[in-house]
Amino acid sequence: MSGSYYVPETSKWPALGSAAVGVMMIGLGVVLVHGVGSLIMALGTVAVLAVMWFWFRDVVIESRQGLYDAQMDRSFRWGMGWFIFSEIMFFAAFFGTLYYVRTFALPWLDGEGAKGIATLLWPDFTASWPLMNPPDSSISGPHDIVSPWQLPLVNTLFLVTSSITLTVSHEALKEGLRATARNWLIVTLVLGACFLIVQGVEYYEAYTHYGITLDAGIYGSTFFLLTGFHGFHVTIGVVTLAVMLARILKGHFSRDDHFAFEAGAWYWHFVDVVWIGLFLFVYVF
Amino acid sequence: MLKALIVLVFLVMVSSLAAGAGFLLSDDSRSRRVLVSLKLRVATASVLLVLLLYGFYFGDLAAG
Repeated sequence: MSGSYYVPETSKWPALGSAAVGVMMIGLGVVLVHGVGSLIMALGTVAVLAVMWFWFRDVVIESRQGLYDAQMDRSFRWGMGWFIFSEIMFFAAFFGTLYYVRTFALPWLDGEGAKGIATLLWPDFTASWPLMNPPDSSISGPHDIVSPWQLPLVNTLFLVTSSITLTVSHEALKEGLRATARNWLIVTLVLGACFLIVQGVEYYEAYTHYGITLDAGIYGSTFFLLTGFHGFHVTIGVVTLAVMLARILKGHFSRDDHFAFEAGAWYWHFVDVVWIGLFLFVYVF
Repeated sequence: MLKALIVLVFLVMVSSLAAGAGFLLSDDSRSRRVLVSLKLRVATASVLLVLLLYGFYFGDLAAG
């Protein structure tokens, strides 16, 4: 295959994927505006997942057939590059929101800074973070906050440890030790699942005992936006690594050919770094 | 001082992750540079965790 370029046959998956995303988003829109249409959204979601499954399956089959050469390998790497870029922009927007609210918007409402005239809106408002008393009385803030040194710290330990076990698995795959790679990858998946379970417990505590909800002012909404989307990304990472485990069990990957594993591993490290950023800027500082 | 150290280690950790992304794009699977940069990434994350626990234990880092 050296010097060649593999041109895949015409694929139906991009068009079907777009249609599935369209159905899912229309369903979501109808649910948000009219409160009905959850069936349409569910069908769209299932269709998106099905397209992803069959599309990725085709790619794996083509790869196993030896159809991909070095140029195709570079295409996959740049595809991963753009995915990484989009993920960085995604989380930058949410971290930026938190920074803007804490550094600019709240001091302005308290009469400080260039737009301090905004204090005329709610003269009695006093800025603080976490914002326990939103300026408008129609919104009630949380009555307590989640201590970083309890469940969030446990989750930090889970994720950092899972990155270490994944690195051991990665090293083992590089050295051709497939059984070792498999075993440490299983440990990584268990730790990832533990993280999600603990986050579920934390959300339950936040909602029922601390009054931290999506409606609890800017603190509640930023808390759930940041940690919720991160939890969603951990879920994606768990699914990705589970697929890598299945591929190892099926005999895929070699010492010199395991881009999918390496890209999945990098993604897991990225999710871990985002969590450490959340732990610092949402919980501790 | 502790907060500055935490920020510094955090920046090293992010830099090693970014280096890993660069190597993921430029190298092929025979290269070990992605793995080495990710090893540095987890090492710095571990150091950061120790610093956070130190700050919590000695009361230098207040919650929220």
